[in-house]
Amino acid sequence: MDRILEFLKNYGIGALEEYKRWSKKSKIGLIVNPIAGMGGRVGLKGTDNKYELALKLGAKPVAPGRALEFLRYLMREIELYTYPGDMGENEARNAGFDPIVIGETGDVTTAEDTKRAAVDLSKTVELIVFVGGDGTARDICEVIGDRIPVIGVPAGVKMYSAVFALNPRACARIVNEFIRGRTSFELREVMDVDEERLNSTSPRLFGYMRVPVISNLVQNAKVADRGNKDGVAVNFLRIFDKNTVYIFGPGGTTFHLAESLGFDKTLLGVDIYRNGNVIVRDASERDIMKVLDRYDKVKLVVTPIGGQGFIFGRGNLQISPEVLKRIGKENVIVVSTVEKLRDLDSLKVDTGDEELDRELEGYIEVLTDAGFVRFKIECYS
Amino acid sequence: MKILINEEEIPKRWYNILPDLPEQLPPPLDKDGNPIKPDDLSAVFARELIKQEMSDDRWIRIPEEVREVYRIWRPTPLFRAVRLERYLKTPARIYYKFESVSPAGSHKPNTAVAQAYYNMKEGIERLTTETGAGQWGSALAFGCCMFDLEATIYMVKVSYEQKPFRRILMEMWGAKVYPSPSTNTEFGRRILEKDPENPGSLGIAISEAIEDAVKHENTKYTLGSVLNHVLLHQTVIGLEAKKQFEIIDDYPDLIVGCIGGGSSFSGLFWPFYYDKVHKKAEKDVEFLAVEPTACPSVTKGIYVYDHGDTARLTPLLKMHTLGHDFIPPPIHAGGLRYHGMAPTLCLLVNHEIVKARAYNQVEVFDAASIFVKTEGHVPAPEPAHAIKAVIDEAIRCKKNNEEKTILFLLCGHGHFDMKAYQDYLEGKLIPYEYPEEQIKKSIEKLRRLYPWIES
Repeated sequence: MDRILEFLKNYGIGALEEYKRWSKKSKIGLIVNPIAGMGGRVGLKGTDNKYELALKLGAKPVAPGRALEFLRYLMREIELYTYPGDMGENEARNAGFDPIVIGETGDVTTAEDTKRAAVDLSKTVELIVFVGGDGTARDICEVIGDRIPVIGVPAGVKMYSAVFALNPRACARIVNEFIRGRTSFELREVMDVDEERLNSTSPRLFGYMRVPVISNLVQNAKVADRGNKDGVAVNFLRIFDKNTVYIFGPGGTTFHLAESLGFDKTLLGVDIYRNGNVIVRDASERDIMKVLDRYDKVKLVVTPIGGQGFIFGRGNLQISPEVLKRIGKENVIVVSTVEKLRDLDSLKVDTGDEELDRELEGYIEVLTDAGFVRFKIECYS
Repeated sequence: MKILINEEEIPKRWYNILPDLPEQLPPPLDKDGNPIKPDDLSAVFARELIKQEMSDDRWIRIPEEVREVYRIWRPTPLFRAVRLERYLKTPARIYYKFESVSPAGSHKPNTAVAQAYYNMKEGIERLTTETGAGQWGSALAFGCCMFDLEATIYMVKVSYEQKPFRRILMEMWGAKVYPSPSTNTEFGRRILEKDPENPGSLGIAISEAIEDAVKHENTKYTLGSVLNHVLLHQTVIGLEAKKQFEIIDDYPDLIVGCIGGGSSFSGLFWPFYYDKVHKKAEKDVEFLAVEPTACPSVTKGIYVYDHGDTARLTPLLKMHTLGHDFIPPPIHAGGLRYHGMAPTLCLLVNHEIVKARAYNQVEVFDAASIFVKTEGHVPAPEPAHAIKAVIDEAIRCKKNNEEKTILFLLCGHGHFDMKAYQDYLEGKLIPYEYPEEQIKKSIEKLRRLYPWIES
C-alpha cells in the first residue's frame, strides 16, 4: 500500500501524506499543573509559590476536575502522552485513557516539573495541552516558545493570556479538530501579572506560543480599558441602595465604583460593602458564604475582563458556582464602560459547573456610562 | 465545417513519447531512493499496463477489441471554427478536435476502455478507482461495462452528495459508487471513527481505491491521468487529427490544450511532437498549455523534486510544483486543480518545447460564452481555458495580419457543469488571480528545503 502511494508520489499525487496522517494515531501531550487555580476560591491572586498557604486556607484542587472535563470530550483514538501522578496520569486513567507516561516528579510539583514535562513531551507529541493558568502558560512558553503547537485548558486563577480555550469542552473540540487537520494556527500572547504586585490589572506580555485555533473557541488576551469609568460610577450611584449588601468583584471598573462610594477596595480581590462600611476586604469563598448566610438583600457587582468578556471563571474564582447559585442571576449587576463592551461579541462565563454556565446564558442589562445596555451571555458549551 | 475520416482510419497504434524525449526521465523511486520495480506495482496494475508504463517502444499496437469499442464514437470530428473566425474577424484558421462525443462526454474513455481491456485479458474481474466530480469515474464505469468487468468507484463524499448526476450515470453503466471515506475499507473506517463528518478528498479516495484493490483477489486499480500508459492511450486524438489535417492539406502552427494532470493535451500534441523531433513536418509547430491562475503550477511553480523530507536528496522525477502546502481555491474547472502532473509534460515545459500560460476563470467563461454563441457546443470549464488562449492568439493574428493555423482540443462537453454556467450568468464567479502571497510563502518553504534551487 505504502509502496504504491510512494510510486504515485513521483507523479505529484499526494495521497501518501493523507494516508499516513489518518493511518497513525495522533500523539497528544497532556500536562496538568495540579495546584493551578487552588488559590482562587480562598482569595489568593494566583498559586505560584503559595501552595502551602492555599492549603492552609483550605483550598481544594481545581485542575484535576477541569482536566477530567476536557478528557471526557476528547477523541478516544489518540496516543495520549503525559507525566506521572497528578501531572496528568491520574486524570487520564480516571477518564478511561491508557496513557503513555514519561518522566518523573517529586511529591509536590513545581514550575520546574512543568518545564521538564514540556521539554520531554515536545520530543514526541504533535500538540501539548496543558491544564493551568497564566503561570503554567509562562513556564511552558519559556521552554517551548513557538516550536510546537500548545493550547491551554483554563484552570488557573488568572488567565489573561490568549492561549486558552474558552472552557474545557471548547478545548476538547479544538484538539479534536486539530487531529482532523482542520484548525488554523496563530502565534498568540502569553501574558501574566506579577502576583507580588497587586496594584495593577495590566498584564505584561511574556512571549508567544503557536496555538491551534477555531474561531470563537479560543479566548483573546486581556486588553486595558480606556473607557469612561467615571460615567459608570455616576450611573451606579443612581441605583445604589444603602440597605443592600454589595459584593464587588475584582477589576478596574469595580475599583472605580468603590472609590466613588468612598471605600478602599482591593484591585484584584472581592470586597463586601454595606452602607458606608467595609464588611469584608479581599474575601474568600467561605467569607462570601458567611455574608450570604447573614444578610438577605445582597447584590453582586462584576465587570467583564477587557478583550475577553469573562464575568465569571477568570480572576474571581472566590465567586464559586455555589456562591452564584445562592445569589441568583437576578442579583448580578454587570458594569462596564461602553468602550470595553464595544470590543466584545458577548459576555462569557466558565464557572466550572457546566449546568450553571448554561443557566447563566441569555441576555442581561449591563450598566454602562451610557445607561443600561442589553448584552448576551454565552458559555460555548 | 467538419472534417471526418472513416472508422477504418481509427489508429492501429498508440504513440509513446518516452524514446523521443530530449532527456531520459529518471525512474520512479521510493522514499529511500530505491527504484520502484514493475513487481512492486503488480499488486494494483495489470501486467501489460506496467509494461507500457516503462516501455521504450515508440509504437504500441492497439488491440482490435479496443478499436472495436472506440468505433462507438471514434473517429471524432475535427471542426474548423468558421463562425468563431468570422466573429473574431481573424485571418487565423481555428480548428478543434472534438472529444465530447464519447459516451462519457470527454477524452477519458480513450484510456478507460484500454485499461479495462488489458485487465479483462489478464483475468481481472473488478476494477477500482477514485473520482472527484465524476469525469474519470464515469469513463471507467463505461470502460468496465464494455468488457463485463465490475467497477467500484470511490467518489469524494462532498461531490457524491452535491453532484449526483455523474454518479447516476456511473450507476447506469453498472458501477458501484461509494462516498469516500466509506466503510468498505479499513482506511475509510478509521477516518470515519475519528471524523464521522469528514467531507473526503481525492487523496483519501485514492487510498481507499488502492486498499480495495490490494486486499481483494482479481481486483486491480486504475488511474485516469499522469501515468505514461494513460497518456499514450490518449494519442489516438492527435493521430486522428493528423490524418484529418492531411485531408484538407493544412498543418497546425500552434496547438493549444488545457492541463490538469496533462493527459488530454498530451494525447493531442504528442503525435505532432513526433513530427517535430523527426523533422517530418514542413512547419515548426508550437505547443501551448493553459492552466488556471488559481492553480498555476507550471507557470509559477518551481521545477524540482517535491517529495517531502527523506527522499529529497535523490534524483526523483522532477515536477513543477507550488509545494505540498498549496491548496488552490475552489474553481469550477476542478479537473485543472488535480494535484498530480505528468512528468513528461513538466520536462518538455522545462526544455521550453511546451509553453504555458494561465487565465482566470472569469475571462475563461467570457471566452466560453463567445464559443457557445458562435460554434454552438458548450465546452466543459477545463477546455474553456484553451478556448480563451485560442481567442487571444486569433486576435493577435488579426493585429499582425498573420494566417496561422491553430488547433485546440475540446476535450469534453459542459452538460454537467451548468452550475458553473449559472454562476457565470449570475455574476457570481470570482476571478481568482495568482494567490501571490500564498505562492510566495509556499515557494520560500520549498527553497529552504532545496537551497540549491536558482531563482
